[in-house]
Amino acid sequence: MKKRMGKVRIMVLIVALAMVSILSACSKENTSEPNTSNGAKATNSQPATESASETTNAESETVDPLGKFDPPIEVKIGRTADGFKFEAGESIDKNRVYDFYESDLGVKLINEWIVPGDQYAAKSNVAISSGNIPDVFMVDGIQLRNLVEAGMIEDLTEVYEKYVSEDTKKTVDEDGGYAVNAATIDGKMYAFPAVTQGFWTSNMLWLRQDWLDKLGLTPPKTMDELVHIASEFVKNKPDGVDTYGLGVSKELSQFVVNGFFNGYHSYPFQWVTDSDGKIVYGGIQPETKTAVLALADMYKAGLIDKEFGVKDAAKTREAVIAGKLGMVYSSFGYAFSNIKDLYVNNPDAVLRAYPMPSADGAPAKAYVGPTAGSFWVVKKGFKNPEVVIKLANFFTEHWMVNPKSDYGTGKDSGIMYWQYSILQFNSPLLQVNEHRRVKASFLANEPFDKYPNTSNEYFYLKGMYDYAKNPKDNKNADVQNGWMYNTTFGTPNSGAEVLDYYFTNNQTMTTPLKIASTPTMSQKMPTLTKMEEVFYTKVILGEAGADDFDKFVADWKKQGGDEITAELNN
Amino acid sequence: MGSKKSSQQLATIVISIAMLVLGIVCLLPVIHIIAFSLSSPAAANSGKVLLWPIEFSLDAYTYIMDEPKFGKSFLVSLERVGLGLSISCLLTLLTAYPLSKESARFRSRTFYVWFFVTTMLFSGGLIPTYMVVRAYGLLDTIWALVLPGAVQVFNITLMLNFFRGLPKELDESAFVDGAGHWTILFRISLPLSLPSLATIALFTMVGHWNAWFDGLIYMNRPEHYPLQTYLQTIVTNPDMSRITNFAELKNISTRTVKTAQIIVAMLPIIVVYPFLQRFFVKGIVLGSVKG
Repeated sequence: MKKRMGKVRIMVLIVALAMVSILSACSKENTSEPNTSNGAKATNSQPATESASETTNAESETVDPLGKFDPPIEVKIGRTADGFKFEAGESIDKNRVYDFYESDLGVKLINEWIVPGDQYAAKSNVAISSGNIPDVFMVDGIQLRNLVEAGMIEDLTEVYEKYVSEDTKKTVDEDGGYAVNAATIDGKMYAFPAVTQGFWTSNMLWLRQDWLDKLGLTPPKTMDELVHIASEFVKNKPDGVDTYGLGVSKELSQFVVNGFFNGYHSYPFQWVTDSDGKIVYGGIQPETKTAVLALADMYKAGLIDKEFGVKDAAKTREAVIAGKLGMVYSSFGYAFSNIKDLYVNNPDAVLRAYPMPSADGAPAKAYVGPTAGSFWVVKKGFKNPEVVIKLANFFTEHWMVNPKSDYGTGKDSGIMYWQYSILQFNSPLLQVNEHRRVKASFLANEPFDKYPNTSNEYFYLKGMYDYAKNPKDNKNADVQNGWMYNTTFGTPNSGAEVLDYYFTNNQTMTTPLKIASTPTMSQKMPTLTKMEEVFYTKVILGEAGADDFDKFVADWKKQGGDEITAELNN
Repeated sequence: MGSKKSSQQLATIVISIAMLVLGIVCLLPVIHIIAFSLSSPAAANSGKVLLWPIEFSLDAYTYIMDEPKFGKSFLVSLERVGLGLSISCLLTLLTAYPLSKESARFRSRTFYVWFFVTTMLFSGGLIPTYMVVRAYGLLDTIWALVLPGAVQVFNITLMLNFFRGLPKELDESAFVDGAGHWTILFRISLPLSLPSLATIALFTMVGHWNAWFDGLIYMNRPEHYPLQTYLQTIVTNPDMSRITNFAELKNISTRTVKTAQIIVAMLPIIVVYPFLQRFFVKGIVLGSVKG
């Protein structure tokens, strides 16, 4: 009897729990609703003020893009803060830049949460899923779409038109409209795009110039020459240790050898325009087959690390630093990482960037990716949605157009105050333009203090002079930095110079995408990318051959590829 | 007889060697990390360092000492372990004791047992749990790290079964002498259960020390992060294809500092482990009734 009672109790308990879990699931789905209704209420309760402000605007007709909020408004934000340094008495919650926002724009910034950059996605996802987002914060393309579908953010179409300043608009439009398009869903602009550069995905060929000189070789123009150089490196061991020919690591999808594919006019992991003007996936084109088989040949010939399939990009960098590798494909900023230690270990090391060689007569084109991957949005129901546009104008005015040294970099402390600002964005050609200026000054032997000490050019040029003066003084930290700046921004054959070459000679392949993501893309792209990466790895290792390529293409199409392609072409 | 003995000796030798190899295999990565942290960055970045530091340098450690974030996170972790350990152990004891009694003496026992077991099988999931924590106003406080996982059903089961293994006669004789449940729990059951208490204490402690994800989710400031959350943010390799500025690129060069922080973070738990481990030795209970 008692036992049965126990059983009944258990049943009741389980049923109750099941109901609770169902209920909680329901409430989870509905989380966006209270927000929307709150938002609706908030807008409803504000008609008086809104119409009032509209009428004043209509009366004056001129809207000041930098106009101060009076009375000041409070804005809760979510932000990143990596490795910031502060003057005594300042913090991320109370500092000169935040005071500047408050005094000159009437915006009091309150950090609702702060998170290191690489954890931003996790933190913001939790905030979005739980329906508890800050007033203003940054999201990626997929989150933007989700927020719009859940009705959690404000439509900014009107306020953008009304409040955006000339200078801000110029920077945002510099990429030909991609950024604004990416922030627009169903014809409405829902976010301010944090414009950045698209060429971080562009590859170039990095070579140990001193090795080439030592072996009497010239930089490669064709893929055959590239293979020849790789085999010469392996044969001759220029630094006296066992040497790999070409650097390849397991993260093929992170553009570690994309330049090699580009040499065959193939664009794996990326979307391109075909001859009919349609958007197609580069990874399934016949050129990719040729390219990956050529890479497999190099592997067979012993020119690629036998263990590349288990080694990450950090290991490739280690090999370069240790003098075991003298040829890698990477972005223009390759030397800006710990690659500097190559020079610290070996004063004779010279690393030079070259445009990618090509398999045939046509020059290889570098892939230029999206210029906006991050978007600033405003929570639904926030009274002053124009604040996000004004913050962008404020950033343009005080950090780009008329930089204020008080909020740039501290003269003595070297503390970068500008990092505290929010809604940062910069010109899609920033580093190329910096390079052009620095190069001209360097060749004309102009003093580096021609530039304000808040600017990057000041440091780049100073470093280049330091290195040029004592190129062998590799234990001196200033010269070490000089080597790094010279290799990235200097001349000849720095990373940025090759970028400049790509742009002036039209050797770029710009992403055809006009949107950040599609519904199927956000669901299936990670799986497809993984599949592609695994397939290429197998081909290079010789475990799969030319015949398997067609099967891979069929699989790729079937598992969502076709669907995404169709969505993109709509 | 003699051959049996020698074969036994052989077995001992083989086992010892196997364990020795296993031990070395476990130790090698740690030694590598220590060597790495004591080398100069240039040597470390060129992949030359294996088990012995090259171009010995203490720079990485002095850097940590000057890095306020590391110290702050360290304190948060200590606070978390201290609070978490005491609260968890107390709650576990208080829950396990009544549940270890028979259904005849504790009527709704089965109900409560199933109540707890169900929570072991079904969890609310990340977002609902987050919303609960938020609703209680625990976000960005140390309690968000301590309270949500304070009652571990697995630990309760462990403790409960241990209590049940204690001879009933002990309780009965104590009752006869006029003891109440509190006295029995704290004066008799608890002292006899130290080995299992030590076990769950160790589990809880290591769990709290190693947890990082909740710190990231519940804390709104990097300076409130426990140590492992902080370490997680510095040791993960960035996705190279997503890097769009120089600050991120520069970040990947400080590997000696990262390894040094891993070593310092490892120390406390390594120090505590051997002291708690001796409690694992059982057999205390066996003697208590006979005596």
